[in-house]
Amino acid sequence: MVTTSLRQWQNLTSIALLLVLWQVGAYFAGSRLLPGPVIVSSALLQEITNGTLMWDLGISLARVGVSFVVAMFLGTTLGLVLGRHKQADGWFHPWLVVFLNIPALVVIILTYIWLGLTESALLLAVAANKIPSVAVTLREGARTLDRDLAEVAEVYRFGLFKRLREIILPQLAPYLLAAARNGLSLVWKIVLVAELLGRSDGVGFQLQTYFQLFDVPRVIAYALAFVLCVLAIEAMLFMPMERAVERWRR
Amino acid sequence: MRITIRRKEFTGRCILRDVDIRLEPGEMCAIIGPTGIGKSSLLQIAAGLDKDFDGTVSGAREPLGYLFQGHRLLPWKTALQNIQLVLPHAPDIAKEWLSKVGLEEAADTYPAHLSIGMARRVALARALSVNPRLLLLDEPFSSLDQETARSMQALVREEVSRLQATLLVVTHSWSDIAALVDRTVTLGGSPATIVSDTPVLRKKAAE
Repeated sequence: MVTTSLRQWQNLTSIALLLVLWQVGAYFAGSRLLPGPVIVSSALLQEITNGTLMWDLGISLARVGVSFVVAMFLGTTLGLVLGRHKQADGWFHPWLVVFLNIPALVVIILTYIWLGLTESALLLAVAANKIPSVAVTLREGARTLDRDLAEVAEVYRFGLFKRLREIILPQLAPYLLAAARNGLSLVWKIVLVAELLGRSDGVGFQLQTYFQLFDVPRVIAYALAFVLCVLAIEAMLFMPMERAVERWRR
Repeated sequence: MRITIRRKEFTGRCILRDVDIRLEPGEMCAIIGPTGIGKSSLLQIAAGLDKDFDGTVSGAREPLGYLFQGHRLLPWKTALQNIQLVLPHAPDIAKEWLSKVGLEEAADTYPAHLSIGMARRVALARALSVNPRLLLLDEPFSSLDQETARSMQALVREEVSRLQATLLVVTHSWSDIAALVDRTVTLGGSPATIVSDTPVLRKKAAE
């Protein structure tokens, strides 16, 4: 417990230090292109009170959520199949490498061209960017599944569902968690780009608007709001999940 | 039950040949022989886990209890949960089984925090808790001190006779043979086959 509180103290101090450096830097730059934290937070407050920020933030987060879930589901399925079947892996591994290396931007542009500037095009493009890396992580997980424990399940006549829940899922949990964490940080960045390129709402769209107006405080304000949301998800969802997954380890 | 192995290959090499063992309910039999000769393979075949051999296993009775060479507890379950998992209809009995192997204190401990000897006793409790009619033990007490080993041998013998189960135990320990079984099957040669099959004579008075 001592170490936890030390860690928290360290985190807070480190963030405070970052804010101080930012303020000092802004002061010496003396330019409206590098506003300090005070100006940014007042812009943030304005955007919250007049309503548009919460709306756009909500839309972007919903897009992140949907494409994240789709990518996790499809990527996990694909990864498990490739991890369990050597033949399938032999055939599809090269495809995976190709898709892993297609730039996100290209996928977004092509999807918009083929499907139009629609909501489903955005969701598909974002998910498609994420699926290969989820698949690679889960393939690794599927390969390390313990045969010894599978035998235990066979000896004690576990049914399919019990096998999945008690034997397989706990072994995949660290891989799922790693894929989810990387996934979230990748997906939210891609969502912003996709919004900027082809949608007329969301944080990405707003960033583009303020970019054109050279309104730096608002650009930073939107980015900050979004980062705070993602950090909150990390702290409230992933950290407790990680503790649950790690609890039994030595 | 009858286990017939005409030929069992492992990584391209024949390791077992012409092994034929008949076991009656309530019979307690030890498999002995040098390390690496295929005794554990024989257990895997008896359990129905290994089907990649030329031969048949018939009349194997259910349920099956199997103490593997390692403990093979689920690392993400406590000692108690590991036993409860095989007793979906009677989870309350799990605690009794832990105390029968002398480990009620360890109920909430994860396997990573148990010693090898303790983890194997939990695994033994798991194997016995299903009321097995076929009990397979792979060097069951090798990591236990003499006194604990003796009480575990007594527990196994008691359960096996209560259930009229068939016991097949792989062992290197004379104490297991003396305390546990009525019959020993010795494997030898390469590829291994049965070189002797003898009853263990007990002096009733000495017990």
